[in-house]
Amino acid sequence: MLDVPIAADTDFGERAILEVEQYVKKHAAHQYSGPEEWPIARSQISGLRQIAMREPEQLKDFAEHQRQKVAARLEATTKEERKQELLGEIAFWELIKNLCDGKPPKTHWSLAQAREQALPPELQEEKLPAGAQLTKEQQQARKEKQERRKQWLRQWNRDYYAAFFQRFCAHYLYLMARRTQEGGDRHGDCEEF
Amino acid sequence: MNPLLTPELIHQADSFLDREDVHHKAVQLGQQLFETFGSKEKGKGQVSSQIRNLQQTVVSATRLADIEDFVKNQMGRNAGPYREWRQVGDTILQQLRELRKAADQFTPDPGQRLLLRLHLARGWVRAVVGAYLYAKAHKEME
Repeated sequence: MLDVPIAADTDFGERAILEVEQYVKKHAAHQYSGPEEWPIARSQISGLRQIAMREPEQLKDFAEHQRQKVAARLEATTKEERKQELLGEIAFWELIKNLCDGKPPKTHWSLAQAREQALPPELQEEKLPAGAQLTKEQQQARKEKQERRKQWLRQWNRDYYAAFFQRFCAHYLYLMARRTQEGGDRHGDCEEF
Repeated sequence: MNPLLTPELIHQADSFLDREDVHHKAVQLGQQLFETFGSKEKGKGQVSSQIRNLQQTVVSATRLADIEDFVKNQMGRNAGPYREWRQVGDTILQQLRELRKAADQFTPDPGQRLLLRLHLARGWVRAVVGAYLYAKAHKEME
């Protein structure tokens, strides 16, 4: 019962923050002075969070749809500065897709990979040898197992996508605020205990 | 994983919160919260809804990340008292990080760490809100 909050508080949460930090460092660290200029608007972050919480299975398609829209704008753009901004947006949606189901060796960590590792052994898919004949009981047992697997995967997605993207989105908005507020970036200058 | 807090762990956590430096920081933060949010509320006697929101979030959180995310979201907004949150948010996040570190030192068990982080956060917010209310009472007596 504590697995999800523990993950959100530790490895998943840390991963989410790391991914945002890396993205911002590469695509939004110095080029933008105001929140309105950041590659991904606040409203899009809000949409991303909503989908992750309510329809996690749709998130990858949502990201791909967003990527395609930006790619179409990129093709129609001639201004170099605007092209760089759009490339930053494309990188963001590609990151989201990779975080959802990136595969090794290109992607070292993704929710799909984490889910695969977490899948209980009794729910692992069994490949039947070619021409295998199953009794009615075996077919029924197989069907029930597939249903249990499906339910497990659905629940995992609901729990962990929400846990991951809550942290991801909050940290993105936080960095957006910290790096564009009056007085510039004061990141790290707060008092220690 | 042993998701139970032992009396020893609770004692260690409470002793940490009672440490003079830790308590002093929490009190300073409470005063800072009053200076930031307290004086802007209309009418005497009212506790800032932002302080109540923070307190409620800490009390109902199922993980420390919920509290950190709440603060980051408040800082990241572009409406409401986001400017005020940006004045105090980093100090809150820093103090939450210290609670996290403390919990990690007290036990290696992930389940106990989770519960200990929450126990620490609830004790911490009591001190912070207590200092906020004390500062508010002082102001009202002037």
